[in-house]
This record gives sequence, structure tokens and C-alpha cells, in this order.
Amino acid sequence: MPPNTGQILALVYGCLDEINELRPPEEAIEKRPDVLLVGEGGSLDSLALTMLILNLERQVTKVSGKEISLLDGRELEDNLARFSTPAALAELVDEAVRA
Amino acid sequence: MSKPHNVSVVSDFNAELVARYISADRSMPACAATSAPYGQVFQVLSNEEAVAPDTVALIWTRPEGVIPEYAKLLAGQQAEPDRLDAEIDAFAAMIKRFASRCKYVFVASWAPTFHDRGLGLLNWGKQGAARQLARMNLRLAEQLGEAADVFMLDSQRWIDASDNPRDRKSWYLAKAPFTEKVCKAAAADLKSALRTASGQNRKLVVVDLDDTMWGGIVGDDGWENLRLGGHDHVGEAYSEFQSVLKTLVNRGIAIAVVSKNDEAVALEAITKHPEMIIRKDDLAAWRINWKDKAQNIAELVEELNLGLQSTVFIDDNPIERGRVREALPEVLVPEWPSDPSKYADALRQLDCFDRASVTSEDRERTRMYVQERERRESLTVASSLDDWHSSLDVRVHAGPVSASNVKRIVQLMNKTNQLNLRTRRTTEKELHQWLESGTNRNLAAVTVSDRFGDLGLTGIVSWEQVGEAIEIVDYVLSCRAMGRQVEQLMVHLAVQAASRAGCDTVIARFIPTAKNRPCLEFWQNSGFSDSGDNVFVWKAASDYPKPAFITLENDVEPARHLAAAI
Repeated sequence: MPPNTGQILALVYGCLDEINELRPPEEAIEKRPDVLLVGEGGSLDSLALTMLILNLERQVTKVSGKEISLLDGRELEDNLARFSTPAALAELVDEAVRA
Repeated sequence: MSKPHNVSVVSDFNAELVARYISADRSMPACAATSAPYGQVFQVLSNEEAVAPDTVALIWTRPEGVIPEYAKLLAGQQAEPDRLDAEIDAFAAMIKRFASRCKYVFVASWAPTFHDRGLGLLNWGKQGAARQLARMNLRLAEQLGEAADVFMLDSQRWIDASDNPRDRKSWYLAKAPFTEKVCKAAAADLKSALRTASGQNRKLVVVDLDDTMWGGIVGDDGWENLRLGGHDHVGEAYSEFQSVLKTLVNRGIAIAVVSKNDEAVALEAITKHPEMIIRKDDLAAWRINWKDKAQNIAELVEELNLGLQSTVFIDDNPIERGRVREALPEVLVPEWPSDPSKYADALRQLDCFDRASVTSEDRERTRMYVQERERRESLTVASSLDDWHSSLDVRVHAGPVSASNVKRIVQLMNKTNQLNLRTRRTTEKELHQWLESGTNRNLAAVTVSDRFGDLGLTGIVSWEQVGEAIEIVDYVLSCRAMGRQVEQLMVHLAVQAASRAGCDTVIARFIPTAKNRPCLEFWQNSGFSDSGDNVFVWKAASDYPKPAFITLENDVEPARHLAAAI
């Protein structure tokens, strides 16, 4: 059974927890579906975004048994809109798992 | 709050994540880490201005990134062993030169960056990568082994911390081959290594008995029915746990027992049970009674002249653990597994017993505690304190700094809190530099023994000439040698040095810390005049006599001969 939207969002938040370990508590990224992760007003730099995406890929593979790739071959910087919020990331994962 | 350590991560891959984890780790000591530009290891190591003085460096490289001959091997070409060795030696030499500008340098051992079957069946053959990598690590460790303040860290341990330690995509995307758990483990290990190198490790494990040291309740079951060793998997687990405790004893960590039991019953089990590995002679002390364990621990730690910050408490009972944590927050009380088969590994995995060096004093520590117990017992039968002092037959050897004792001297300076005049923490390198500069600088390393045995190198007194005065810089005495008038003898050594140098005054400037009040009390009663602001003065025209009952052998050489000896 592929994970449902709620489960996927929980995986995204789990990966955000890992990112938050690297930040002072007062700068922790909120775990809300619409919180801005990247782009103008976002809090992740490219290393943190890479870490988030790759960790999410590994976690989803572990849970779903299906190997997924959230990067479609373009450079990360050209893809930012696709990773802008936890909800956007969850949608990407959902598509990849069902593909 | 002290200034955070400045940490620089030097790597041929993107180790920014390691630097971020080091900065974010809230355990002491605080660190502010940055990563040097990756792929520029040789440039950074050879650049005099690449790091600020007193930097702590972590050098973590891929073997194929810094040793071209190994890269050839991975590419299926023949490697020249002599050339491989020469490349390792050159890398090690570069690290050693770089280390002279740093406070500490930690070098990660080499591990395969990615899994590679290589030559498969022949991977451990002469041209096999596995065999060559093992040789390379050994050679690097040997080359760096003698360097002051340079330590190798086991990177395989960091890799083993994760189910998914490596990520090719991360390498292609960010030149970061290892996943975040590996980086996090590396950061935690660096912090632990830093604590160890600066002497903040633990010296004493206090262990409960029932269901911790053995299975069962000795008061109810009788020692014959305890689960310990034998053909019993639970008994074997307790036996293994005791073996690990014994390993700690052999490495110089003191073991003590605090248990709610009848003392005679518990000691009978320790003495008579045929499968006991920890015996009475392995125990530095014990408190076996029905009193509060926190109170017992505090008394026991005081008896051993240790600090609570040196102590670890292990108990299977979460209520006892909680009580000790609350009452004695400086004591480390690790969470403890409920399954005895996990006890041995839980103890093995504690990093608080790591050592930057293991000296002969460390190895003999438990024997010294047993001797101290005998001394205390002899005090109770002596008619007076003077009689007891005389009966001890104390012998002191004062010697110069040498290659054979410098590690112990640094260890003592970094770990001693109570009888410490200025609490100057140092590294081998800094001590060496200090002795080489200034006027008339010298240091006497004091080794103490008495009729009960050898206490080892337990005291340090160093001084320098400032104008017409000799100033005592370090005045450090281990707790275990306190109370035998070695304190006065060390002052005698400094006053003698002043007379030899033609100085008219000896000065001791006390710098208070939260823990060195006993040192202030000593100086207040030392006979020196108190000239205010914690400054104590002696006129060198008057002799400061050596305690009559101490036999002194003084080999301290004039200062100018010292530097070459280190």
C-alpha cells in the first residue's frame, strides 16, 4: 500500500526535524503544510534543501518499498518552486509513489 | 560562559554539514565550526594563515582524494607500495606542521568512500584496496602517534551509525558522500574527543549490585542462587557486564559500589561467588547500607577525593537513577536498558571514559585507592597526626619535564580542580612553548610514594622570574596526595629555586574558580603573607623548610636544559 497524504506529510515533517537539529530553537522551521521552505522568504539554503530532498527520498523508499527520485534531471535551482512548501513536497512524493 | 572553541573542518569533500552539526551540538564545550573550502586540503594544511591560532581542526578526507597512488589502485592500475608510503608520510608530515598552529588536530581514519567490490577475492591480496587501505591507516596512525595534540578518530564508527551511510546522488549533487547521520555521528565524536583531550572525562563508575552487577536479590536469594555466569544466558550477560567493568579498571577507571543491602551479605557474595569477576580488590570504595543512594554517592566521592563531575552512576532501577539525577546533577546517570543482555554494550558505548593518554598512574589507580583505604585504616590506630605522617615514610622525587612524563603532566594540569593555584589548562605544545620562553621558567614534576605504595606523579609546581621575584605559575596537586604535607614540600621547591636564582621574593597569585577553594585555604595557612587580592608573598631570605618526615630527591634541572628533553 502506498502511503497516504497524511503519512507522506508526516515523513516530510520527520525530515524537517533533522534540519531543525541544525538550527537554533528560535529559528526552527514550523511544521505547517504551507510554510515557505525555499525561494524568497524561505529558510533553507541549497545544502539544507539537498539534505531534505535526499533524506525524504530514502524515507519514502523505506516506507513504500518503491525507489523514487524527486529531482527530474534539472538543476536544483531551476526546480525550487516544486519544493517550496511541505505540501508541495508531499504532492511531489505522492506523484512519484503512484507513477 | 567560556568562549566557544573555533573548529575548522578540513576536507576534500563537502563537509559543511559536519561543521553545522558541530556548531549545533549543545553538549559542552561550545564550538563555532566552519568548513574550509573543500577540495583544498593541501592548500589549507600548508597555508600558515589558513586557521586562527588555537583552532581545533578536524581533517576528514577520502583516501583516494589525498593519496593518488590509492586512487590508481581503485582505477584498476598497479600501485607502487613505496610511492604509496611516501605519499602517506608526506600527508602526515603536512598534518604535523599544520598541528603546530592548532590547539588540537583530529584526523579521521580512512574508510572506503563508496562500496566497491574491487578485486573481489583478491581485495585483501597485495594489490587489493582493502589490504592497502588497512596498511595506509596503520602507517598514518604510526606517523601521527608521536605528534603532540594530534589524535586519530575512527571514522568507521560514524559510518556504522547509519543504515544508509552513503549516498551517490548526494555526491553528484553536493560533493557530500555521507548522509546526515554519519555527519552527525562525526560531530558528536569530535565533541567527545575535545572533552577528552581537555581532560573532562569521567574517572569513577558507581554501580548498584542487585539486578545490575548480578541477577537477583542477594538478601532474598542468597549468593549461591544469584544469576551470574554459568550455563545461563542471563547469568552470562551479567558476567559480560562485569568483564567490561574489569576492562575499565585495567584502563584506570575506578569502580565503586553503592547498594541498598546488608553489607556483610553483599560482601560475602563478592568474595565467595565463584563467577564474580569484580572482587573487593577491584573496588575503590563501597557504601552498602540502607541509606539514600545520592547521599552515599556524595560521601563516597568525597572519600575518594574526586568530584561529582568525575562520576557515573549505573543502576537498573529508574527511580534510583531519577533520584541521583535530581540530587546530584553533576553525576552522569545514563539511561539503562531493562534487558541485562544489553548492559555490557551500554557500558562499552559510553564515551565519557575515553582518554587522551593512558599513563602508568591511570593503570594503577585502583591499586592506589585500595592502598589509600589501608592508609586511612592506619590513621585510626596512630596516636597523633604527626605519628601517622612519620609512619607513612613519604618519599618524593621532584623531576624535570621529560618525554616520558609530559602526557601525565598535561593530564594532571587539565584535570585537577581543587588544589590548583591558577587552573591553567594546557596542551603539550603550549607547555613546551611556555617553558622555552620567559625568564627562569621551570617545572618540577612531583612523584610521591610511601610505605603503602606508589602514588605516582601527583604534583606539579612551576615558576618564572618576574623582576626580582619568582612567581609560582602552576601549583597543582592531585587529591590523592593531599594531606601528606607534599603541599608544603612543593612550596619548598619553589623557594629553593628563588634562592638559586638570587631572587628576594616568592609570589603565589591565586585565581579563584568554582572548585579551587581548598587551594586558597592552603595558601592562607601556608606561612606566606597575604598581601590582598589573593596574592601571597614569601621573602626568600628565609628558608621555607622541607617537611621533616619527607625524604626528597630533587633532580630538577636548570630551566635552560628543559626544552630539549621534551
